[in-house]
Amino acid sequence: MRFVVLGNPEGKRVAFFQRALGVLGQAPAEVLSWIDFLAEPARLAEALAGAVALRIESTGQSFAVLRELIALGAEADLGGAEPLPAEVARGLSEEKGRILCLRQAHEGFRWALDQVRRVVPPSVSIMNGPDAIELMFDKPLCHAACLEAGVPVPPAIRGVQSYADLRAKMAEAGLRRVFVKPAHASSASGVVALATKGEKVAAHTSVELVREGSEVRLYNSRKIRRYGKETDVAAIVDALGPERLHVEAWIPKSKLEGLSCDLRCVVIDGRAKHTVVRTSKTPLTNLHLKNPRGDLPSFQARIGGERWLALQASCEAATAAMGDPLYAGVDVCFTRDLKGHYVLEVNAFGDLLPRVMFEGQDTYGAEISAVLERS
Amino acid sequence: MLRKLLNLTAGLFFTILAALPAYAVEASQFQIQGQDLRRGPYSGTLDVDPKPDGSLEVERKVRFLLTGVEETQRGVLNARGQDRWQGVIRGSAGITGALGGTRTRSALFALSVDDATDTCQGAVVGGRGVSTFAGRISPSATPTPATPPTPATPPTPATQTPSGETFAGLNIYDFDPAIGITDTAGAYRVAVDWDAEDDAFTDLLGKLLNDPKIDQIEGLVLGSWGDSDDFIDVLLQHKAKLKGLKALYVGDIDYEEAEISWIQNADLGPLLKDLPLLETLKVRGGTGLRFSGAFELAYLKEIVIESGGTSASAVRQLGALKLPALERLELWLGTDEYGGSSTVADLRGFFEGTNFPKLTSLGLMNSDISNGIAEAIVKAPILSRLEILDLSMGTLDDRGAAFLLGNDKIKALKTLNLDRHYMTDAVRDQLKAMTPVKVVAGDTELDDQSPDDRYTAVGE
Repeated sequence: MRFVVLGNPEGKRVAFFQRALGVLGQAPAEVLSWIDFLAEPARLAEALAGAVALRIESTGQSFAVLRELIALGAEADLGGAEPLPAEVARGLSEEKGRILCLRQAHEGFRWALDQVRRVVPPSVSIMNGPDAIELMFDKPLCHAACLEAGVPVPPAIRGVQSYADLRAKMAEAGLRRVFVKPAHASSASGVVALATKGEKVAAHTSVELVREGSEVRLYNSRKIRRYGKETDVAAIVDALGPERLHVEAWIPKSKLEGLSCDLRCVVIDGRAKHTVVRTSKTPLTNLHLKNPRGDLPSFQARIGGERWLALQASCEAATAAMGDPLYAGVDVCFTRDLKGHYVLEVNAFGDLLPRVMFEGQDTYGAEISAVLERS
Repeated sequence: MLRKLLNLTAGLFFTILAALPAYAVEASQFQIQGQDLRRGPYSGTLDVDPKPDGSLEVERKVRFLLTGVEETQRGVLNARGQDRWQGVIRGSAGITGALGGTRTRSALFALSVDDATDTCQGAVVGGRGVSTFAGRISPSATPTPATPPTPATPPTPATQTPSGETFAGLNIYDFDPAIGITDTAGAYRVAVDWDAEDDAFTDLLGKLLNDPKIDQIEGLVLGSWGDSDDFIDVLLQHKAKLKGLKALYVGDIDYEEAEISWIQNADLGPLLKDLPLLETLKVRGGTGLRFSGAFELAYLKEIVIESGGTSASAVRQLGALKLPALERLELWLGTDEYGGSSTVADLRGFFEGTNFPKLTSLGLMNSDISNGIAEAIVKAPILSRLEILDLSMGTLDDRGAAFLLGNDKIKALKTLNLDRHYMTDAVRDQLKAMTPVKVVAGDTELDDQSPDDRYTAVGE
């Protein structure tokens, strides 16, 4: 069995995958870097000669790849927004945390997925295929697919363009507290938890707003900030608007030892498997923000078996709604009274849960085993 | 009867092998009984009709025993293993909420069938709650149009599982009118969902206050009340029933439900003065908060007031209460911007301490006048009685710290909490070197870029 990984070779995701292959007695996968693939997609066809399975990994953590994706998205329709010309994009230098051209980069990523579709022969199974990955990287479509499949998701507001538009649509929908997320961002990037009450407004966010003259720049930060001035909140939402927004009701999450908590549940081969409880003092529970993990067994004991099974059913159905990819990381929260739960995100690359074991295997091991069983 | 086409070993249950055909059932009807987390017990029928591709067409007809509401849902379930199916059912169920019209009426439906016993188990999953049921195949094997549900005795739940949270050492139960009060030694919480109707809180509170056992409960917790800031009037109407309360928490509401300064609180004085057995009081949210009427509470041992700003009048009113048993007071003063208008002079009642002869733990926290408090506290009569002094979460810097450093009464404290401060490291270390007092003070909030910025920890 030979595996090929399309990913960033220096990243820990690739390293964990290689280690899992080793544990299962498999030869190391051949790794084709995103940057090489983007330059010459045909190299994937060469790498796949004699291989049975392809794993598409995250493009994240590499600025060189991001810059290239932005360049490749320069020709796409950005909903009327002016694209950054390809040659300008290729000349960008890294500014730590800068939120830049999310939609254009996504268009570049879609182009890349098209190249994958074009060059991968039917004999090769793709662990998570381009269609599912593309769907999971489009939050409005992902939400709609979950809704259609009966998966409990928070009510959403569609097509928000700007802060003024957001407030008008919130009023229309009767929503006063929402999460505003860029449609094509991963982890907590660009996410704003917005509360309103009459004239009052407050945004809790990982976004740092920097003004220089009339220019507004946004940065991702590990620190959650609170913006209480409407002009600041509007500046942030207006800057994010052209990136396409997904807006959902803000569901107060259940608490664990005084902290808000939600769960990341990795569905592999149709079944909810590796699960962690994440806790946070802030509304943003993403692991990348260095939040502590809660104790899973005590959480399970608290909600009881029936609700746990129901949660798993939702995670499995949410994954199935993405076109049944081999794996997905589903973020799900229980309501404050623990009676209901909501699926918040379905992540294409949400299986990075180092050291979390299920039936003796980590996520990568379980995924590889599933491929081996299927072939 | 159910029939498996394949004999499968139980061990395979957890391994999905896509190649295996799902086992088939004959068209059957189950009599089911279930429990919906929000709507209570129900019973009815579940018809299953297998399709050649392994999927099941299902129709579920149930009647909720408490309300008499009937509901029919249909859908197609796909095989998810040898004896598990999952899919979407849609139906007549009217789900209400502030967003009523926009809410999906479809639900996720998971079903497992045990061939050996002719029984099934299932769950219906919606955002507002989970409903689970168990069923047995109808004695009359042929599927018939749904008969009225078997007149089975409704499973009246005699107990309720505590929420897992506690207040004042009491288990908190989220009050469920369908269950009522079942543990009078617990604390009952009234709170509404993020999408509740306008008057949902007062409705629920009214139901709790009209429960036959209301006069026996030890604890009451008021959670998110939405816009129902007339909750205090409802409590006052029924206050005679609350005379036995030992613990009261007004505003168990966090940042995911409301910004702390947006919580519309009330004058709690008229209620508190008639709660003679109260031992613990916790309040969150300073907007509108008052303690009018200089009354006495003989057993009140602990008060915690958390806010982004507590008004000068509330602070003075609190200082004027006669609380002979009070041992611990934690008061967040906040900032002017959020209604925290008090000055050091308004704190005189606490500094003198004549109304609080047993007070040994005093917290004047989350304040933007921390330096002034430090200056005043070292001269205050109360200091020699204190074991714990807490000036954390505020704006204390080296100027305020200078009053505490070397003070004999400060040194004699058990604990001095100055955490989240603006002191320089050198001064912080000098304070920490004092003995025998244990000084709690982590890293400074001082910012080299803007050395004059001072904020309270909770300023919103």
